[in-house]
Amino acid sequence: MNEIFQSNMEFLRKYSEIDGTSEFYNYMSQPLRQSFRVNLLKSKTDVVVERLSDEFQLEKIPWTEEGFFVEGDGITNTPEFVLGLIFMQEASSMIPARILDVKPDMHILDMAASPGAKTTQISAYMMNRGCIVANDVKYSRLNILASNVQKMGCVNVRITMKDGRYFGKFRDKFDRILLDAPCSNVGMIRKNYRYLKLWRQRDVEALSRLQKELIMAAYKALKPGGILVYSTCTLDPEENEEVVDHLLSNTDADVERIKLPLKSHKPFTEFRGKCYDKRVKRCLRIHPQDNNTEGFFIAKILKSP
Amino acid sequence: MEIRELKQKELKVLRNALRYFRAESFLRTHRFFIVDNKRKNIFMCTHEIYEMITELSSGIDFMWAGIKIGEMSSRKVRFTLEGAYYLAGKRNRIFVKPKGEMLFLYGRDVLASSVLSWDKDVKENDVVFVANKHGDILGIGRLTHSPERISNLEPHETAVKNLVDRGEYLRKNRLYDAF
Repeated sequence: MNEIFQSNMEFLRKYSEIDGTSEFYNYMSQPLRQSFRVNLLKSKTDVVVERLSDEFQLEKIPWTEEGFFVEGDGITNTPEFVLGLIFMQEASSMIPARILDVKPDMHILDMAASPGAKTTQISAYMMNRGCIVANDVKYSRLNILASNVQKMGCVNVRITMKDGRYFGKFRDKFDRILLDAPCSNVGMIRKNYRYLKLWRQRDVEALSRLQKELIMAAYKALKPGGILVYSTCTLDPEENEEVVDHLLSNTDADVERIKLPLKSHKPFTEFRGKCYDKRVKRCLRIHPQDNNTEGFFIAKILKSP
Repeated sequence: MEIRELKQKELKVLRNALRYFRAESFLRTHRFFIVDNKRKNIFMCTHEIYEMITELSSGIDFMWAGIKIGEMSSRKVRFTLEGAYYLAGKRNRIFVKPKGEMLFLYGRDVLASSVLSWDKDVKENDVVFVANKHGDILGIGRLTHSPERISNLEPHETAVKNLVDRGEYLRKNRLYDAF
């Protein structure tokens, strides 16, 4: 096991209950593969691939048609990046927008939108029609969100600055809601060891409480028959299965199984003495070694019509 | 920030600018509005987004909607690069070779040896859209000579002065300030 993980013994103890395999720590200590998504609002996948293939080795991401892993330095120095023809985005984080099943004229809420990777992906799937409310609570993060909306050319996005829980007052308003919740970022440790140093069980519990409030607000704002996608880039069950369980226990929500060509781990149905609704088994729990990506958790939730 | 609809006179200025670039149809398919800041910023969004701005306004301040396509003075519209990308992509362009493209994106002028071709309507001193061979707008510049003279210039002489380019995004902490 890489020595770096010894610097946070509380993390090591907890994660021995989640995934204590050497493979897990081996992948967690490797840098992430670079990946990007073609901005379908400005170009076509084959055109961009042709333009980049001379300089870079590209490998298709199996679960996103317009997504590619890229080898070689300098992809962010290319005209394609500068012009907004591609967006650098981690491969597993392309899944939530992919399974949201958006249609061009829908009303979408992206509750925690910055920096806008998923917002701009949704905008492309909607062919720049309909409307997306892209919200974030922090003013400092809105600048980068607005920059990316502008750079990607998304005319169907409105940016708001509210605590996500505020949207609970808009009952049955949105056709689709994406809640990519604030989390303890364990999946991002591959990007930056800072997240390992910052990880505390106390924070996980506080975040879990916040995530439960956010998911309840999101569900209220969702139209009957609508789809809510809940995702985090962490692997702690308290921030994932437990949050989905909280929603299932308190509402008529249901979970749909996510079928994509990728490997995943079985979700937890119990953890540290807490039993969860069996339907959480339909969620997608991705550990870094499954597909050599960031760790990720995704749930596709349906509101009965 | 307060938003408002365009006044009659402003609409006329915008319509003229769009007509010049044969993009008048955007007035039907999209919604334009003004955000008065230090400048008169023109934004473009879908009709649905505009309706939502007014509908979901209670307790929510306006932060941003759609894309900023330009700024308006009393008689002119100065397009942002994104505005140019969408609305003004078919006229007043000068096309550059790949090497010139990268240099331009790093803030340099376009040299005579980098010029590939140009739209027929460009003249000396015109503000032109600098495009790569694929037609992507890289930025805005000022033509220093008439197109006919460019082919007679020394290779290292400046053909287009860089006014603003999309590389600003990289140079300014990746915050794209709607240039």
